[in-house]
Amino acid sequence: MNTLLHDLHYAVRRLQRAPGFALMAILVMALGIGANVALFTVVRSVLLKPLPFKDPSRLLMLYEQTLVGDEYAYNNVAGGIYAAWVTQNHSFSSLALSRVTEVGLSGSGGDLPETLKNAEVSSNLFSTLGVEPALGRGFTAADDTAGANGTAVLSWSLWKRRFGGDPGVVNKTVYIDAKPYTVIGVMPAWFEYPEATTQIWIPVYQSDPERMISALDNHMYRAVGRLKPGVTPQQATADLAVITRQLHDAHLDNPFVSFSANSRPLLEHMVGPIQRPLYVLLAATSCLLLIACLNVANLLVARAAARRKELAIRAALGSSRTRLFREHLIESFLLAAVGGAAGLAFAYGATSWLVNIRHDMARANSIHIDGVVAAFAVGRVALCALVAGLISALNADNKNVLTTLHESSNMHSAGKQRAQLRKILLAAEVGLTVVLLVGASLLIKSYERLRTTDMGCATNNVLTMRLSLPYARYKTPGPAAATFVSTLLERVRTLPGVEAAGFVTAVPGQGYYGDESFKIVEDPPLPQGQAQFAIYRYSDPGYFAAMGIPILRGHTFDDGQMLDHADEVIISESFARKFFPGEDPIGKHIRFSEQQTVGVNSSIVVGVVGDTRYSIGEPAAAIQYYPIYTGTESYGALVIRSSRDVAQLAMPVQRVIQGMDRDLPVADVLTMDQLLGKSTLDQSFNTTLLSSFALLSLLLAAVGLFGVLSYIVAQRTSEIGIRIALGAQRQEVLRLMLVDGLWPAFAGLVLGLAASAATVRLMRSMLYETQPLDPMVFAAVTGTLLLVAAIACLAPAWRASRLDPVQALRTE
Amino acid sequence: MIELKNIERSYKTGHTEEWVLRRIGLTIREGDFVTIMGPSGAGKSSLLNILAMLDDGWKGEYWFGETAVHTLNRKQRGDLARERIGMVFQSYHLLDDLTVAENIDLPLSYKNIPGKDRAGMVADILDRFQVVAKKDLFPNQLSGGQQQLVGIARAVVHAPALLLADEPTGNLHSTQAREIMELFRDLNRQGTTIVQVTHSEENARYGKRIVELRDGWMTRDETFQTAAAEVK
Repeated sequence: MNTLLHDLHYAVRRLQRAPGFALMAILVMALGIGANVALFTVVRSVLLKPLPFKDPSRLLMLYEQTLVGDEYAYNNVAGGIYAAWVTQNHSFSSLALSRVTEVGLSGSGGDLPETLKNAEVSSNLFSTLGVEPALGRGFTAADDTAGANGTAVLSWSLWKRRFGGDPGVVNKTVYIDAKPYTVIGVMPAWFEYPEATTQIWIPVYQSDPERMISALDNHMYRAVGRLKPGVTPQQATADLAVITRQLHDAHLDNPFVSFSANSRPLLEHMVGPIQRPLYVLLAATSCLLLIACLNVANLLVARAAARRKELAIRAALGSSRTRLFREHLIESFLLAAVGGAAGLAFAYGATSWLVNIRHDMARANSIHIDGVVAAFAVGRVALCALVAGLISALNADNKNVLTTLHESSNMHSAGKQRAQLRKILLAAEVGLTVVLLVGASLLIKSYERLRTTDMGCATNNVLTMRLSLPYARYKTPGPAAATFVSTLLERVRTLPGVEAAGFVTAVPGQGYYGDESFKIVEDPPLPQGQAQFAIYRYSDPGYFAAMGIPILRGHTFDDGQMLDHADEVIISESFARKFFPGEDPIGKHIRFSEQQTVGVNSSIVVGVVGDTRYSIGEPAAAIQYYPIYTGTESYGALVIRSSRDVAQLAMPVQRVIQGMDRDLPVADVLTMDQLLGKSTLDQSFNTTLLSSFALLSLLLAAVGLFGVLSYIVAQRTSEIGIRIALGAQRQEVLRLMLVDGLWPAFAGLVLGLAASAATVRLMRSMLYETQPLDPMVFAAVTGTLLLVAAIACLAPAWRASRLDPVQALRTE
Repeated sequence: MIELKNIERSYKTGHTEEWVLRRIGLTIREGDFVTIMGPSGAGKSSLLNILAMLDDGWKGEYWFGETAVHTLNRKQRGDLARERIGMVFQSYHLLDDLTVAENIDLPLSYKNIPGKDRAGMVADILDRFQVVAKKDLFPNQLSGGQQQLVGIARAVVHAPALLLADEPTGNLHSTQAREIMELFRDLNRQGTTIVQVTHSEENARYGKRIVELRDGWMTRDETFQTAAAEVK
């Protein structure tokens, strides 16, 4: 023990005497360990830790399987199907329903209105999950009936933010979409369901109309179930599938009644979409850590070379090989331990930053460093110390003590072996860097493609903001909502700087927002069990001009398209191609169920407009547009186009809205550019992180190349002198050294490209319009790496070519 | 063949200037075999480095035949040295990872000589120096004398007009040293001009002329017509 402490003491002293080396090694270790521990923290907290619900392994997310094939294998649940599951299943101790919506929350004390993510839930949701409110109570069955008084449960963050954490909030009245609700409870801070951003829960059967919640074909809800003890997920799913099949067979005339059921563990449902990217990022940081280890091993090998004489003296004085070996390892452990401590601090900062900027990510609040993460970090430190230490220690030449003591030459074979080992380490480092570079470049290209996608509409200088008119004051169907939109547009269009304004239920890039079935009146009836459906939107006549969507045929809605006189429809190019192949759609009639609710039997096609994309990563889909002034919809987005900085119009427009309804919240005030940026946040985040890791690796590899070639130049000083003395020209020496330095880079490049080709397929699902084996990406990575390697090698090679032969020969 | 006029060389050490060569004037004719002698630090190797055109930091005039070396830039000096001068070092300076044949080929590889011709030249010199059997060996597989033999073979493979040797037998025992000096004498007889630096009086007797340096000054320049022939 005493000897160990002694060695440790010497190791500290040796590192103090080489502060540059120590600092570099610690920094490299800290970066590698820190990034890896940070990602492990995220993966463990989000993907691996069980959900904080009671007995979470028995919670299943339930789906309908609507059509044959994978597309709707995990569809949302219709309220009617869910009701049948509840009454007929034998597998679940309880089932619960939820639906995510957005609501306007306004207080009674003149508080500013705001738009919040709301979940309409069945009264037993909290008990199904096994969660109790932190304050107050949950819903009772009596709360969750049509006609019951409104009750609401708040999220912890909403309670803290909006109500200052006042325990007296229970029994207070809040206004949700202009209707009074009594606050009955506050959920715990860690609770998040159905989504991370849900801030308020209200009873679903109390909120949704009977027609909507009892339909068999309205796939709007999410269902979660708790398995009875002893029932397997497969048995339970089969149980639900049978019930669904019976309903399907009893309603063969309705093609939208599902024929089967499906399930997934709740955790998988919640984190499924981020699973692959997180594992890819964890793999990337593992690569980075390995690169860091190899880099430190490289530094240690160089250091061992510099200390060769000292080690020979120690050996000559009686130090055993084991003792010298241990000294190597102690030094390596010391560096890794300090680097690991710094890395842990780095990981803490990185995870805090992540939680802060990605609070929308599922389970983001559960991300924190715990005992397991700390143990992982200690394991990583030990691993790094062993990898870096063993490589250098095993390579240390302690055998030829006498030769070492007698030689002052730089040109002994051990030196060459070391240079060879360093080249091999470097080739491995470069190979791993190439894998990261290829991955990052693929994501960059994919993101670039995504962001340059033609949305089919103007994206510059277009401002959007979303409104949701509360049903209590703007009953739909009815004239109030139509009048509000009409007046709003009239006023906004008179604002200075506004070139055009329009209103639509959802702008391109804002999401799917639902489809609905329709019938083309002129066509023969479809066979039983078949149906036509397409995305639908409601818009005002000026929307297409405001959004820059070209009218390809016909015209926009006539001014008289109001309420039950609104019998026109405009279709997108894809709609025309898909449902009117080889025909002129103008003048044809479409019978649309939503329109029938306002007394319009069928709508005449008056125009064909250009395709737009409902989501940036999705292809253009068939869309049918109906006049917003029918008064069927009470929500939507206002779009404003301007020739100057459109963001400056945000406040004047909001003042207009506030002047019309002071309790109406405005949400998502974004330019189209910002909106598209927000919708590609995940891709942007993954790309940025992976690119950062790749650049860091490239930097480490470049530093490694520089270090190795500098080392080689030092090793070969006298040889270079001899060559110059024998007639070698400067450029020949430069070429010789560059080739020597570049071969590990080249070997690493070849290995890295091969490894990339084998691994990038795993990223396929993360790529948009980009092939994993994209030749341009591979070529660009090759070019970049060789360029960086050449730059890194150039300085030492140039120094070698400038060597004074007289001096060089004197070093021999 | 070579004419040095007022050659001076100094090194800056801090604020002072240390002179290693002072006003050296020396004429070397074709076919000469000059031995530079003197105690350590006298400037022998510095003078040899200047003659070899490895050093640029001197002042004065250096004529190599009709060429004014002092007016040439570094590259031109390199080109001239590559064509006309061969170097033999005290510690042989063979490259460890090249075979005997590859070491000999090294100076040829720095000239624009086709590979086939180079191979022929290397084969000739291996034959001439009787080291054909050792052509594929590496330097660490040879004795010191054999290594120096290869060093000389490498220095003369491109038939230089001037052969410079810095303590060529300094690391050899007496028998090996004598063999090497015999070789130098043969080369000189065949027309190669030789300048050697040595401490050894015996080696000096193989030459025709002795130049002595002390503290950077040339203190002696003595020619003996029969010197080389006397050494047996």
